[in-house]
Parts: sequence; C-alpha cells; structure tokens
Amino acid sequence: MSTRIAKALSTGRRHREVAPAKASEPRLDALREQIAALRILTEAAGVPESPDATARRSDAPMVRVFQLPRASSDSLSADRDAQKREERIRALLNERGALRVLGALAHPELADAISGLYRSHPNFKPAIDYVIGEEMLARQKEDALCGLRLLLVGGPGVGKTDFALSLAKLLDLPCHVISMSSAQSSSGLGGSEVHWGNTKPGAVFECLIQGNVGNVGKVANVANPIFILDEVDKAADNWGDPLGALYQLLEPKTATTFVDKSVPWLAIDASRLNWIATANQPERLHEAIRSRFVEILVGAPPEDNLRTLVQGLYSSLLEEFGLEERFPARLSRSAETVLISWSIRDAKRLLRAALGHALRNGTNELVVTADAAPASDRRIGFV
Amino acid sequence: MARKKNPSLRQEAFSHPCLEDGDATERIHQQWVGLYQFTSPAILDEPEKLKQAVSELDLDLMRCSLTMLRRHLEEAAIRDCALLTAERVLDTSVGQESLERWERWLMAAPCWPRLAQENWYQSLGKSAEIVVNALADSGIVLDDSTRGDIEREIGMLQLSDLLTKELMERFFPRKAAGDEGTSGQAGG
Repeated sequence: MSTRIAKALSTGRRHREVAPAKASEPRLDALREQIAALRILTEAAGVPESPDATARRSDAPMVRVFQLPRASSDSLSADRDAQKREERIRALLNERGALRVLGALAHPELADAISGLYRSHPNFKPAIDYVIGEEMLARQKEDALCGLRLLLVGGPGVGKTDFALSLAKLLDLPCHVISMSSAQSSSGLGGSEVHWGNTKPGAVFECLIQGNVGNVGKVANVANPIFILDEVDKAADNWGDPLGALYQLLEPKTATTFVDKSVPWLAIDASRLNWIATANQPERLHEAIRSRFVEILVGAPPEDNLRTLVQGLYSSLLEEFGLEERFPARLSRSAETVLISWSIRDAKRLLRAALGHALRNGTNELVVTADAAPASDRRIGFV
Repeated sequence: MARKKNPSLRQEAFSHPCLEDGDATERIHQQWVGLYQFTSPAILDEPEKLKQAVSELDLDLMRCSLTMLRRHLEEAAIRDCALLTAERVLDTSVGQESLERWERWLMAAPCWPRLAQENWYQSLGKSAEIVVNALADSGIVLDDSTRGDIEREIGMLQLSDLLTKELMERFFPRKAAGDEGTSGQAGG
C-alpha cells in the first residue's frame, strides 16, 4: 500500500533516544535505521484510523525498543537450525529496525475523548480517573500514554472487557486480548524456551518486534500497545505459571530489558506497554502480581445509568443487524425494567434473543422476558 | 544551418567529429584489421612496411575510440557503484551479501577501484535515485522533504562507510592510511 508520509525522520523527527551507532559503519547504520523507521511509519500510517481516534500517528515521535547485539562470530551452538533461526530473526530485526511509533500522545483532545467514557461506562469512573490522571502526567513530560497497569475487578458482566476495548479504541492503540483462563504457561506472553523444537516468541515479542496484527485488527507498530489480560485470576495454577512473565513485564525497571525465552539474546524495552487485566476474584492472584497493578473495583452501574446503557445496547444491536427501520427506536419501559435486573452481558443476550424471536414470528413487537436468562442463573438440579 | 540535437538519445553522448566523415563503422573495421599488422614480424622487421602501416593509422579515430572506452568504463563504474551502494543501504541480511558483491566487483580488474573513486559522487546521485525508487516499490513513497534528507544522507556516504577496514586496506591502501588524495577524487 502506497502511503505518503507527511513528515518523516531525517529532519530530526523527534527520536526520543538517538541510536548509538555501531563503531565501524555509523553513517550506513544510521541511514539503514532511518529507512527501517520509514517502513514502520508507512505501515502505521497505512492502517485506517478508527473514526473516534484522537491519537495521530503521523505526528508521533519514535522510540527505541531494542538494541541489536553484535552476532557472535563463533556461535557455540552446534545446531544448524538454531543458527539459521537466529539469522532469520536478525534479518527481521534489521529490516524493521529498532524504532517504533509512540501512540496515544498526551493531549487535551485525548483527555476529552477519554472523558467520553464517563457517559458510556459510568461504573468505571475510578478507572477513567486513573487513566486521565496518567494522561495529565504524560502531558507534563510531553510524552504518550504509556505503562498503564490497570486491574479491573468486578462481577461477571459489568463490562470490564468492553471498557478495556473501548479505551484501546479511543487511544487508537493496537490491542492484544489474551484470555488467561485458557493459558497454561507463560509462553503465550514471554515465549517458549529455545530447547523446544517448536520454540516460538510470545505475544510481547510478536507485537513489539514483528509488528503482528493485534486481535482488534491493527498492525502493532507502536511501542505502547495495549495488552488486555482477560480473566487474569483464572489462569491455571495446577502446573506451569501463565503469569510468570508478568513479574518482569509489569515492573517498569525490569521491563526495560525484557527477554523473550525464545530469543534469549535480545533484550526488549517493554516498559511502555499498557496493561489492563480483568478479574472476578483478585485474591486468587499472587500478591506480587496484584501489587504491580492499580486495582479498581467495578460495580454495577446505578439504575439510571443502567437504563441508558440498555438503550445503548439496543440501539447498537439494531444498527448491527440493520433493523433500525423495523423496530422502534427506543425500548419500552417494561423491557428496560426487565433488562436492568441482569448484568450487561446477560442483558445483551436477552435482547438478541428477543430480536431473534420477533424476526422469527414476523412481528415488530419486542418482548423481553427473563425466560431466555442464562442457564447459570436458573436453579436446576440440587439446590 | 546549426544541426539540431537529440539530447535524450544515446547517440548524443557518443558524437565525435571524426565519426562524421564517411562510413565510420567501415573505417573502424579497417583500423581494427590494420592493427593486426603490428603483430606480424614481417611488418615490424621491415622499416618501409612499418612506415606504410603507421601511415594507414587513423589517429583521430583511435583517440576517439579510447575516449569512448574510457567513457564506457566510467559509465559502468557509476552505474555499478550506484547499484552496489543502494544494495548496501537496503541490505538487511545477516550475511551482508552486498558486501561480498562489492568485493567481487573491486577484484574484477585493477582499474575498478580507481574508477569507483574518481566517479564516486556521480554514482551517489544515482544511488539515491535507486534507493528512493526501491522504497516506493515497497510502498514507502516519500514526501519531498524526506526524499531530500535521504538523498543528502546517501550523498555523504564514503567508500569507507560501505566497506570493511580490510577491504579498504586492500583496494584503497592510501585512503585507508589516511591520505585524502587529489581533490577531484573521493570515496575514502
């Protein structure tokens, strides 16, 4: 994809850290790094901006995320496959360079956009306060929103994951959602050991170095993408330690030299990553992990807000299925009353069921009943 | 009447007064054949025949031919150095194959290192063009300012930025030793 880059590097594009060039070929190395950074900028600029995004990538500065060590001339590894693999990785590092765009630059417009979450996610006020506070601090340093460590604690269906995704969208940052409930080891985040034949880098390396697409479809060319650790309290604890890599990644100082187990010769600066974790039972987390987060308790929204949220859910469902013409623009008060007694997740499920039912019966009358309530809440079996 | 020129065509670059008389290709052929006389002892040992053979030499055509050979060599050096420099700039491989290509090129004949030096700045201009076009082909279209910056950076490259110290010492011993050489030459 051809992309015109408005203002690129060499005019002193605001590199936060100037590359200490190699001794032998400094001019050539600097030129190559500049070209690699142009490649990264082009990729970043080529990704369609989300409509409500406020962070403008093209104006963003770039920061270094790794320092490539010199290849050892006489590798101790006798394994030719391992050497070839290292060569491939080094070629990738040369091609993509060490500079990444810094997304979500702190700016009053960004704070305004984040404030919009007070309306859409009223029960997340303390979390929004925290993020805006961080934005203010970043603004003081003319920096970007980096290093968020947010643990959202609350019952099922209060909208924790939705809030995290909405925030990522507002910040226009690549977002990687990792379901910790199905994670069995920390290899998903921190890579697997090189002694495994199928060793593979983890999500942090893939995102920061390879620029792989995050789950929300953006190319991750930024130094501060968002990682959402969903259901972090449900990580398997019978064997392995899915959270093992987090001890280093969540500590700002140690995160600057994070080493993926699959690429042990390369230290990555992962200190700018933003982390949002969700949990129902934070007490199940190890204290060392828990203390690294800013923990925020999220409750159900108040009734007035719930009614607004339910109407919002209804409108978005109508829009999603192109049913705006067929069904009334607003839910009836009685339907609202039924829905607000459930969690947001359940309310969405009930609304979908009601819409499906109405379509099946060829009617435009929406009947929301608790009959379609989730199985978990029905009292079945031994009580 | 002044003769109209066709500056965009190759003919213009190789025009010379001595080519404008008669059938130049036939004359070139005759000279080429005639030069073989000088390898024959029968000619070399007989002053009269040698005098006759020398008198048949078309010195203007000879000078023109050598000038053109020189021009060809220079053009080849400019083109090849531009390409090799661009390859070097864009090379992301671990083995740095572009360095080996430079080495093989310099090794081909003793004239090439000197030609590279003498035509260095011209080759850099073309090299910048190749790099910018290669970037455009891979989707990186630069605005004027960035393009200018890249061209300037490439324009500042020296041979010592592209070659290892060992290669510099081998092919450009005076440059490697710190001798800057004549002002018209560059690359060290």
